[in-house]
Amino acid sequence: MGELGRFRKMVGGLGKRVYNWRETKESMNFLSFMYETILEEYAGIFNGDYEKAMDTLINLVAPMSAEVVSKLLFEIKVLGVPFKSLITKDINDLPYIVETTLYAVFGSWSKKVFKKPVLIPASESDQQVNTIYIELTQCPFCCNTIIEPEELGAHKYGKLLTLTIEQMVQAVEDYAGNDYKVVARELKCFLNDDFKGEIYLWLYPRDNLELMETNEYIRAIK
Amino acid sequence: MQKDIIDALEQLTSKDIDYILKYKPRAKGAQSAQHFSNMTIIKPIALNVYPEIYVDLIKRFEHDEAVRHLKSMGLRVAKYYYSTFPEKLRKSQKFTEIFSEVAKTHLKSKLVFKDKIKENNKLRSCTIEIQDCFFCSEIALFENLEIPYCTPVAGLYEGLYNIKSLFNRNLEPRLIQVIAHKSAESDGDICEYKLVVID
Repeated sequence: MGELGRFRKMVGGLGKRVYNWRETKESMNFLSFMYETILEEYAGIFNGDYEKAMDTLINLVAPMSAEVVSKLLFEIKVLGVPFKSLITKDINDLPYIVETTLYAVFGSWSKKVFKKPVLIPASESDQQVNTIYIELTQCPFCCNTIIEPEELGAHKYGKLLTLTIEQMVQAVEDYAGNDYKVVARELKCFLNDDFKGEIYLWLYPRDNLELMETNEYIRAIK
Repeated sequence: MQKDIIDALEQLTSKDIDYILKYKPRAKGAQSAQHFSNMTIIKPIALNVYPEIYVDLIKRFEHDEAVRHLKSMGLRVAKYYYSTFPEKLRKSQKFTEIFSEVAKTHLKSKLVFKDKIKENNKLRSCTIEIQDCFFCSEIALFENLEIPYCTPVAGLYEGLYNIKSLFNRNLEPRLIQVIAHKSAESDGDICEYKLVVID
């Protein structure tokens, strides 16, 4: 299944480890502290409105994040092999590409935090489009916060992670030449007392974007 | 004037201690933050948020107000740090170790304490030089910054010391202020902060 053969997957497996090992890394604890403090700072600026704070944060960060994600995917070469050589047009390869990228970003911890991404084909998806499902068994983002989930309004706490993964998959699909609009939402979050985290990525064909209107999660969650 | 500063610092720090003592993480199933203490994330992704936040805050506010907002981000991080690692509050440490341990373990930075000024054998001020700053190293830096890019780190170090000091009530000096003077302007350059003893 998929266009990626064993050899390219083996190169990808080696490449993600070498890349993560060579790249400068930062403490995940301090990143989650920074994330919370930025959210608190903006909530303070907007008189305690966390939803508006999150809106502002996302508006500020999204363009830069897309640029960084594209750079990561398309400019990086490991052992002379460009990461983009792992990208194929075949949707069946997408879970592997997402898994490999998560490893490149988080190292071996990615296996502890995320279960293997799963492709739900359009024929089996509630939303009638190809869907990537990512389950989190633990969460380094919301683990330290005391912000009540209700305060975030229509947002979930892991919005920034969801946005980064959404941009990553959008960049992959654009490069592969698939005409999809990728939309991601975090449906379950530990902060909301769920027993796992869940991120869904729906791949809407651009010639059938009206399908998005029937997706209640896109309407309910920002 | 000096008394006002001391009162303000005491009030702010007492609130932080209160937060730490009452701290209970909300997301129980997510694992504790301490569980993730060895987890890392690659720098380009970790720090892609901050540049836009920095620019937005310095555009949104006048100079002093922007500095206050940037610094308060770091002060809050110190509070989160002790909430996650409460044992560090009670740990007996030398003056410089309080800063260096966090710098080395979590920020991958090196600190050098220079130009110490003492009165009656007691520290009055010093300069902290930072190599491999959490915010500045390996980042395409802005030019001609009026407000140092890594101002939150000054807040972090100030909070780290003051929270520990007021919690334990036996540290000398009792309260400090840390002011960001200069951020690294090129790869290999250093960041510089001024540490002033307030009480």
